[in-house]
Amino acid sequence: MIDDYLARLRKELRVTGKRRDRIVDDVRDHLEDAIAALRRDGTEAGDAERMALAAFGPASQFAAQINSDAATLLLRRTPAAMVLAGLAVVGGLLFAAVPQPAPGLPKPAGLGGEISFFAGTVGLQVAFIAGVRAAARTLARWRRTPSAADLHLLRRTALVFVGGLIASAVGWTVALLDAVNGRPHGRVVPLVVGLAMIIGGSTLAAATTARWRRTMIVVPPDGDGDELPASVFALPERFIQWMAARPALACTSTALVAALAAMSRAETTAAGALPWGLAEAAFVVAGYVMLGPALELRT
Amino acid sequence: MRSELLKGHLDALVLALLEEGPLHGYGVIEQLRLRSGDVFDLPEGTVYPALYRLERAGSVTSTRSSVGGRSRRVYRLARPGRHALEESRQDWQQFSIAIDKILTARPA
Repeated sequence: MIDDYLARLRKELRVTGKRRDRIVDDVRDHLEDAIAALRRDGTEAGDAERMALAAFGPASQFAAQINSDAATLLLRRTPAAMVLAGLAVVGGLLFAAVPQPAPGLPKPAGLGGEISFFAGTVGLQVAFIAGVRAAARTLARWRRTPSAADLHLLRRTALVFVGGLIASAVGWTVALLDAVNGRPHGRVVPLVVGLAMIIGGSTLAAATTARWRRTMIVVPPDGDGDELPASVFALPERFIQWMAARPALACTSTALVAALAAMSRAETTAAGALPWGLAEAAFVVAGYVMLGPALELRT
Repeated sequence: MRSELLKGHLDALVLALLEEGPLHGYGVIEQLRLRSGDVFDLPEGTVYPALYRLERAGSVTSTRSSVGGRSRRVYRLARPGRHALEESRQDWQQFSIAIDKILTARPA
């Protein structure tokens, strides 16, 4: 009976490795002590096992408590890991590109390299937006238990964040390799270190998200979630919800700002930068339409 | 006693029990039952999430030791746990005085 109970418990626990082994060992020790105490009182062996298990509580109930605590802990640690991952990817690009013999990517890049760099930048923007979305909701629930609706949003933003970060990692890696290809004076060490940071950062983000999704048990959301508290921490979330109710304003203003930023970055004439600005605006609109509902950026 | 009344106080109770001396998990639940005069009769598994939380917070430490000839994980109160326990006692004193004032007052 105890072995069956512990096997069920092991299956229900969402913590892994040494932590899970320790919890199962602790429960085994406890049950053995409880049975020993009942036997000392004269209880038959079979009855003692049944009584000890009943007194301990169902495996699913115990596992749910452990899983809930583990998920809350992971929820608090995940934003730090994601920020670190994002910084590693951005830092890797700068570390790899800046020390090269001429500023930025000065060699007239091939179209492939330019598109890759652009794709990488769009990917980072997607990751940034998802990260900001998650941060606003987490901040609004600071020191409060997140609702099922909150956890669902955070799961979606984590996926979008990781997708964007991986896209930026791939795009920038291709762009960097294209930029140093055929450049005899390119600096190899910063390039290698930078690429390692980019790949490491995106891997960290993917691993953290996978672990979080495996540990977190999220029940289907019931309604739109709790009301926002009247606190300064909830201001970013309130602003996002206000904008989400005004999709035309949100989409247009974001597309315009992004287009102007893209054009200002393009190392060419204004006419030459215009296609990049238009492409950026198109991506913003497409992203808003496709990802807006998932990130609760539009209603 | 309804177990939901105990929520929020279990951590402090565990710290208070460990103040007397190190205990293993089964010992904690046994002492909780005995010292409360059988009033606190929780599902025994409830104590472990509390112990793990307290260990993560640094309030308790644990090591495997021999207890009655068996190897068991034994929990000890750590210095931060003593501070936390003192704070809990002060909070409880204020809380219980306030509750008492309201609940025991009867209309004239």
